[in-house]
Amino acid sequence: MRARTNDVVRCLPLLLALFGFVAQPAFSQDAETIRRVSERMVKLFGAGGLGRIEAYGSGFLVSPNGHILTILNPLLDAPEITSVLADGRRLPAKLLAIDSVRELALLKVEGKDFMHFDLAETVSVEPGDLVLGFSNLFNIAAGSESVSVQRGVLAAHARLTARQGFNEFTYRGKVYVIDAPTNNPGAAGGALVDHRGRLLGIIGKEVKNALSETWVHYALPIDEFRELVRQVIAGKYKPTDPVAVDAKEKEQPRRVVKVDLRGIVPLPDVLDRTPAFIDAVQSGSPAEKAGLKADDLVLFVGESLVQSVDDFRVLIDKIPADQKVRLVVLRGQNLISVELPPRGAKSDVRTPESSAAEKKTKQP
Amino acid sequence: MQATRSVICFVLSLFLIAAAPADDGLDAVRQQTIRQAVQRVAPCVVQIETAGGAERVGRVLKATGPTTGLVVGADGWIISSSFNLAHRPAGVLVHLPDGRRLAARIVGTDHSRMLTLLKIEATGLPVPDACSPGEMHTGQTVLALGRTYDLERPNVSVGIISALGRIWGRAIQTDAKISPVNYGGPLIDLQGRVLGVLAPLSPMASDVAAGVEWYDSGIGFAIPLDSVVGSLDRLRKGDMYPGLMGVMFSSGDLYSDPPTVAKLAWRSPAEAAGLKAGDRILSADGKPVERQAQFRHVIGTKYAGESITVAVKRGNDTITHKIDLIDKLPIYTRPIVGFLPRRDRPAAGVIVQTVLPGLPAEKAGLKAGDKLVAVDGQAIKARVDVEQACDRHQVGETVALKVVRAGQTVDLTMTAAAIPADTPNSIVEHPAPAGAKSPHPTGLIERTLPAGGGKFQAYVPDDYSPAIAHGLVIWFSTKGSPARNLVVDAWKETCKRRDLFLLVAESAKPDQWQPADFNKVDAAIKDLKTTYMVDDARIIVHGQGPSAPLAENFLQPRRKTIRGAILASGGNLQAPPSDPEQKVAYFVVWSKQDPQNRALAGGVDRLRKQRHPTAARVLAQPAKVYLAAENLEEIGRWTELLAAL
Repeated sequence: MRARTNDVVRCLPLLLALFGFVAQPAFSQDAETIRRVSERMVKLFGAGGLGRIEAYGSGFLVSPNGHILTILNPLLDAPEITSVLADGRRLPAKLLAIDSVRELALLKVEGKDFMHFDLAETVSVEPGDLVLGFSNLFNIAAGSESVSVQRGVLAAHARLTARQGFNEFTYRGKVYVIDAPTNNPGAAGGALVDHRGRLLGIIGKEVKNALSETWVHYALPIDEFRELVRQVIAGKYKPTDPVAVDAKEKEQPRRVVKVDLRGIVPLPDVLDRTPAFIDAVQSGSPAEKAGLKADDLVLFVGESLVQSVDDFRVLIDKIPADQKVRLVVLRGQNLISVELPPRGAKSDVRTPESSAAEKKTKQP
Repeated sequence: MQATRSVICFVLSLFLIAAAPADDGLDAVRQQTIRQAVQRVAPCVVQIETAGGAERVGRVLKATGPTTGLVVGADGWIISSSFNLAHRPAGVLVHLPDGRRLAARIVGTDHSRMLTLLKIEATGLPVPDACSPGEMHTGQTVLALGRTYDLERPNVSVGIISALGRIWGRAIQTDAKISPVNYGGPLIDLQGRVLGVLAPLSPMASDVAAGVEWYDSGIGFAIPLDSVVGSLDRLRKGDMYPGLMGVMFSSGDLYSDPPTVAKLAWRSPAEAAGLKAGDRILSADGKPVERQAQFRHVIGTKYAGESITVAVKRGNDTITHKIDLIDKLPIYTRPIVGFLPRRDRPAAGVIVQTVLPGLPAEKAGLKAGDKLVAVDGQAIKARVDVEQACDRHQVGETVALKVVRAGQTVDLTMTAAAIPADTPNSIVEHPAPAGAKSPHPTGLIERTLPAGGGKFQAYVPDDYSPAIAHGLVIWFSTKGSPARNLVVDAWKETCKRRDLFLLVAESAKPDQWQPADFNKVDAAIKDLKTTYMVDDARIIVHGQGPSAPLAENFLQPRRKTIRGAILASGGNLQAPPSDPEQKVAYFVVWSKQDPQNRALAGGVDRLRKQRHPTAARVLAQPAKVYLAAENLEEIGRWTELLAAL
């Protein structure tokens, strides 16, 4: 009996160690992760505070010398931008560069040896993986209080067709869609990290997913801004002219009147979204030659799904004159692919305009 | 020796503590579990694309992006949320995870659980594993999947089961983010088994967009997969509807009041099965029910075509009924054969005054002057007998009349018809009676109510004779209404031609109507009847603009005694279910420029949908102060129809 007790006593440290081995990671590791990430977070204050424009936002340090990445925000219009670091220091921040397509801004504060995120790390995540969002949403963190943390999972990694009020979302790449209510006033510019605190992306603005008409929480992935930050820090950044970008986006007129539909006569556009049924096919036209028939429903122009007759006209018009037009139509329960010749194709192409021109030339 | 061993153990343990990995604890394990669960069910989650369709579904803006569906049959059966297809698209495609795009056919919609079944031409599709209801529990972790962002990977939201058996027993509730990005997709457990199909639902409303406003809010619903699979055979054959039996409980507190039958819907399954008003339901399908809500829980999951077994208590007896549920309760349409009886008092039986044009009586050869002696073999004495006989028929059924014409008995058969919406262009006026005029005052009269009830005014046509029963139009006046004299003057001609009284109903305070004012109108009608011959078949309320809702308020609790409502440029036009005991016809008049134009047009549609006879007149120009002479002439003709048999 005594021998047994002695054995147990001797093994106690081992047992304790084993217990610690198992019990340790989930709890203290999380606290450590939070602490490490919080150190790199910055609260930003600037212009605004009138009506709905918030004068507060979030950002995070990306270099030891004080470069701060954030989202392009009206608060940055202020003559003075104040940054509040995790340790409570208030430092004036200078706007260094902006990227108007990705809506990012890089600021700098004076100093050195700042705790920062290392953008060189690549982290792979899948939908369902745990993510943490760090930001000063709703400006809840007063004074030198640390930013707020939210936990969720990654919902998706995909392209977003979105709207900010009436403006189109300019960024066309993939985003991280977040299964947590991260995108709130003041949160833009916050950090999205994985469960080990490694940076995944920067929390974006409040936008609506135009394809589902629902508010969506998202972050711009680190791949999208790694290069920008590197260039700015190295002093090699060339900003894209925001005016030029806007003009290009606005070039396309919304309603197109005269479009060469290759002989397709669609239904008259009278409903909200008149489906792009073919009402008639002009005889001798490329559409007829390709085998299209009345009552076919045009579903795809190239890779784009056609939602309405209006859509159809706009999509066809966008195709360069020298490119073939690939269509997919629904006939009954069958999907049929056809190819129409480029707009510039000559000879037996009969469009309404060319027929009229023909008639004119035929008269002696 | 022992000391050395202890030291070695101690040092070893220190190393172990130090070497414990700083990552890959529970979080990593959980993450891996989630990835595997998603991968397991992903091949069964498909993307649905639609082209064309309405921009709005109810009040919700319907987006055009892809939606999600779930494979439920290997040979091409896909289930999705009805909301995803509610915009009636012209083209529906299913985009399979392997990249194939196939045209889809909408096969049937389950209108109770809000799911739609699609069919594509494909075989060998992977079908998901189901999680049985016994294995689900509140608090368990679940994942909501959709395939709306891109084709490669489903989008994921993580949450727990918040409750089971929600929406009157139909749904699993979860706090995962449920929205158009995953409606139609599966709710799965951590083993990748499907618990249910995600769909917007609401306990308060049952239209297809109900519940969408709660997207991403922390409340979301999924229909259990076992109930989806269980109804697949029926859904393959076409639409399914919630089962109705036609019982109305007294309105009170759904959650505490007992399920006692207040009323049975006309020709409903409950009525046919023999239930009666006053029966107290004790159990439904064997489950005891003490409160109305409990009964709803049982019937809430049932479909038209199924049956429900109900045990009721009537007096001291307990009776069990098996009732077949249907999808639409029949709406009562008041049937007539198409003639106006004479209004002589005292009445010498039912004599045809006018045969209305274009109706079965005319076709069958009924003539003015015919005296009805029997309907369907039953002897007739008064108009109420004819009404009751007609009430026993539905529109379209054969009615047999026996009339006496010039001393001869004539048998006529005709079909019962609905009261026409359009007022005939001309109806011959009832002849004036021969003989002495009334000794009572005519013209604009003032009467005093007994017991200090106050005074009221009424218009009696100058040629009034008690030998003719006169209808009664009750004109409701309030602040902003045309002056009393103007209205009375306008009605004089019509009152004379169509044998009508006009009662002026005013409130004690000019801008406020109180219950006491309504009581006074009741008293005035009663008083008028003591002296003047009032035709009970033609008591009509009338209001214009702000007084139209007042007229309706007076009408609603008196639908058994009031037969008509003339509403000009106003009125709520609420349409209670039609009822053989309530014979109310409507005349609604307004102008296109009226701010309430669309609301009134919508109201007329509502009334007609419930089969209330409703005549509508849309004027080109708005009335200046009150209706014009030609409008009142048409209204006068319409009042004749109220007495039609």
